[in-house]
Amino acid sequence: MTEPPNEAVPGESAADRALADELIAAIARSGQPQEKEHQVEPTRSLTKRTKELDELRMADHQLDLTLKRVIGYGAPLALAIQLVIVNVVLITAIKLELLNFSDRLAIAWLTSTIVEVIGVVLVVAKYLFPGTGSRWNEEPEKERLRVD
Amino acid sequence: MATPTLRERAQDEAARFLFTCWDEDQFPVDPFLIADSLEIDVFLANLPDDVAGIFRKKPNEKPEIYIAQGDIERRQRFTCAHELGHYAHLKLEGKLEHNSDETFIERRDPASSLGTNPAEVFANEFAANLLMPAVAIRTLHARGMDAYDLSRFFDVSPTSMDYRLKNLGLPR
Repeated sequence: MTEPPNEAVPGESAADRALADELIAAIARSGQPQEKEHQVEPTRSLTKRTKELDELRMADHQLDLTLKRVIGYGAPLALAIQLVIVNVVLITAIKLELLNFSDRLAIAWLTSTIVEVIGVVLVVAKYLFPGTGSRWNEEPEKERLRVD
Repeated sequence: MATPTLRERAQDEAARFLFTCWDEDQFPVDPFLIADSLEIDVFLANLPDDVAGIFRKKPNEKPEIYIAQGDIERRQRFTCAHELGHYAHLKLEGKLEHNSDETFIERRDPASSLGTNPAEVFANEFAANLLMPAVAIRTLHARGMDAYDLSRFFDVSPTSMDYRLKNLGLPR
């Protein structure tokens, strides 16, 4: 195909202009035109996140925050309640001589209690609040391509 | 440096419009939203059978685009992009002042698409690059999408996509 000359190009002919004016006047007389409604927002993307995926990721992050809040407060609270109840029951039972603990059993009991407390603190601190953050808002390594 | 050809200038302008009026990475491109962002009024109207669209800028008025309401959506999208091409061309030539009086009628005759009138060549090249950017086409084509998949992705007719692939030297 021949490349057209690279020069300033005027509008079309006066005849076209007159025809367009006539057509548009006729359109106006007939009660038209109708303004074009916009299409839906595009969602397909070559590389960037789509809106749906963003919303899904945000919902997932929201759920993650809720679970962290529940476990972050709930686990130490449940542990404290458990320790208080068990210790009160055990001490009361020992005082009332309903139970008879050997030294080895008492040491085992104290050790397991300490391990339990440290374990819960470690789990909460290390897995719920990792040092690098949850990276919830970062792109996956594999480039996405969504085509429906 | 060599002076850019008319087609190259149309390609540059389409890229600039996408950069300034659109998210370059979102598809399909909506020429109606781009027209809206440029404060161009777009109307659907009953036009004669041989007319697909009209671009008109009257003195002291906003530019207007009229599109044949009987056309299918994809055709209307292309017509709108084509008329935006006329707007871009006039703007590039410094002919779109407040008191400008410019009119273009897009007819359906084969001569319109053959590329003899420079204004029409610019508008056609602009429309193709606006709706089907070369970089995006090449990226998706390299990933194995054929002409049909690409036409769905960019919401253009398979014929337009065939023509675009041919122009880019890519197999269908």
